[in-house]
Amino acid sequence: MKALRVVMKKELDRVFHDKKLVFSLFILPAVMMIALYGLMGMLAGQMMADIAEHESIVYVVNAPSDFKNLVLEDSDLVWNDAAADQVTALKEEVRAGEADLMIVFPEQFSESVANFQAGDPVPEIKTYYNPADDYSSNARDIFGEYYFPEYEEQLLKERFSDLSVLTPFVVDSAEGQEEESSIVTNEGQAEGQFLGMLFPYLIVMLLFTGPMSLGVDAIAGEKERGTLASMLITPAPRRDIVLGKLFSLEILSFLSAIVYALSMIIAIPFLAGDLTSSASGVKSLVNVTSVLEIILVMVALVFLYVAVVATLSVRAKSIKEASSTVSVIYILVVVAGVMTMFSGNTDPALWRYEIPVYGSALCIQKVITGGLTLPAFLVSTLVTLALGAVLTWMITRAFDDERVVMNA
Amino acid sequence: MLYWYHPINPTGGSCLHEEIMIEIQNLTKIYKLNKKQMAEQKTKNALKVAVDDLSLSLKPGEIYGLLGPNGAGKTTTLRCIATLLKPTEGHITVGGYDTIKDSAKVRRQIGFLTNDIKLDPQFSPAYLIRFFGQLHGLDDETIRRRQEELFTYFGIHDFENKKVDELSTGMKQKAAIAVSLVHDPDIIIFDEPTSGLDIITARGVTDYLKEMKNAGKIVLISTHIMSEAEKLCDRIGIIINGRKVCEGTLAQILAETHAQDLEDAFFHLYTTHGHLEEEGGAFR
Ligand SMILES: Nc1ncnc2c1ncn2[C@@H]1O[C@H](COP(=O)(O)OP(=O)(O)O)[C@@H](O)[C@H]1O
Ligand SMILES: [Mg+2]
Repeated sequence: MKALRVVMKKELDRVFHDKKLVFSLFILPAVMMIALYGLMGMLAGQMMADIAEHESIVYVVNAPSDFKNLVLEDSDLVWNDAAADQVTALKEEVRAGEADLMIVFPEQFSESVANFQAGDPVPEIKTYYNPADDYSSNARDIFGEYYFPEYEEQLLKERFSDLSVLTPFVVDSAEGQEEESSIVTNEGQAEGQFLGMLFPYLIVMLLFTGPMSLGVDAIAGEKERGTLASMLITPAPRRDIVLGKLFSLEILSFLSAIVYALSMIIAIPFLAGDLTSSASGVKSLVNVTSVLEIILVMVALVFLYVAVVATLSVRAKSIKEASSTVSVIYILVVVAGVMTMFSGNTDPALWRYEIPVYGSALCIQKVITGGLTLPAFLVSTLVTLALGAVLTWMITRAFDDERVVMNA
Repeated sequence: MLYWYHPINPTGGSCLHEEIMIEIQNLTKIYKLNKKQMAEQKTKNALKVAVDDLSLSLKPGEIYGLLGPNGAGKTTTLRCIATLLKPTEGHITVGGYDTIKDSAKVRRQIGFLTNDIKLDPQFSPAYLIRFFGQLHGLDDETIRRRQEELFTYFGIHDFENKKVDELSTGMKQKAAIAVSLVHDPDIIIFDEPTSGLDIITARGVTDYLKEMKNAGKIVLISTHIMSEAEKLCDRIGIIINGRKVCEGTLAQILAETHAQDLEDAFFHLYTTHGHLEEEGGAFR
């Protein structure tokens, strides 16, 4: 047991006495994550602000005066009346980005609407815009979602005076109901769903990077450099040497995972751009049970990851061989993380939680979106721990095998 | 064949200096080669007999040299004694303990150094001597005392806090020797201890080994350098292709082979025994 502590301390010293390693393992990822998210948030915010500030340049051919009034009453866009023979030239302007949108009403639009008889062709308004241009598509969206529907309603009122003629029935009318129930998502939930989609993937993936970079070096690297044998010729029990290494790897990997998780929580508000709403979304995360659940899932996962990386490293004859097999496992881990992104909102069957890594990712997802059941949590965590324990036991056995430790 | 003569202690008492400290009985070590190794060694045989029925007994107060060309089986033999490898056949006892059954007790008594066992490049000699002292179960006071003694003897103090990575070959070797001796072992096993060292450093190492012998310890080295074996070793065992083909003091070996010097003796033995297998290797 004493030897275990001695080995563990050395492995931790190896990292903590090395300023460069501490920086690259703990500080750089956090700084990068926050900077990256901050930059993404800033750019996105700037773009939105820029679009919102931009005054749309709109050309309208054969504009009915009631439509023009309706639009200009509420918007400060640049309205240009245009004639029918300008259409071809204006299309070019839209394409070139000099104009944002052209709307072409048929001639005598108001008359054909007013004199409409059942069976007549329905008059058609045409719009021309450039979907690849943000200003242009934004202008089209404003008309499509706002001014056209409003104009339509206005014309229908003129035609029918009472619009309920057009409403044979309603579903879930707001009357007599709590108003909130008709709101599909509130901001906190939306935030939770965003985190719920991203978090399991990021945690499951980032947790692996610690064991991957440290574990291969600590085991395959020591074998290759011939420093492992120097410990094997001391009277220290081999089991203590292995476990000392594994424990220290687990501690380091878990610390790096915490750094990643914290920097993500700090960084996400930057991405969302709006600090207050995101803070409320994160608040739903920060309650004792869910934090505890996530930590337990992470601890179990780190235990498994370290055992997997160590198993592969101990068998490998060189760092190169170890890294290549470990990176294959890494791809599987990423796939498991990605799969949870597409698992949708349905409750997964319990057996899915038995799948190592994927089950843990599901657990994290369910903690964030709410609704992780105790059986699901237990199944996933126990399977992960059991698998890690079996592998750890096999590694300690492998250390007694001269073909493994001495490549003999 | 010659055997070293030593008088049986007439009183039958257990005077430490007369006890046999390392006893190898009919050691055979066979490696299983993988495909890559078979290709490298240009053989279709998946089994490689590295040590073949080798017996040895060593007593305190002597320096014994295993002399042989590259690939003769010297390192393999030493690793078996150090409990890093298990004999395929035969038994080894060190200070009365079996290398398989009591491997931890064996390791406690030996200081082992080979070229392919290295000090961790990311740590300093001062850190490592402490680390290995602790793995040997020594208390802090003992470790400090041993560090002072060894670092002074080998002149390590100047670079004791530099990372091993930044040291020259000679400095590394000195540090490795000091670290391997932190627990003041009764048995010192050094595999090619002077290879790669400049003359001055090499001389420092051989002088130290003589001092250890005079202090009553067993010193077992391997070498492929004739002059080193001649000057340093009390007894020499010549191994070729895993077999011990001759053993004795320098004078005894020269007498048996009717040779002028050890090099002549070795070539004589090599031509009689070395042709058995082609891959015996050669001096480089
Ligand atoms: N781990 C190993 N696996 C397979 N063959 C080995 C291994 N180590 C050594 N050998 C082979 O065993 C023979 C003896 O090697 P070794 O004991 O290192 O010789 P020496 O130390 O005298 O140069 C050589 O032919 C070598 O190729
Ligand atoms: Mg050798």
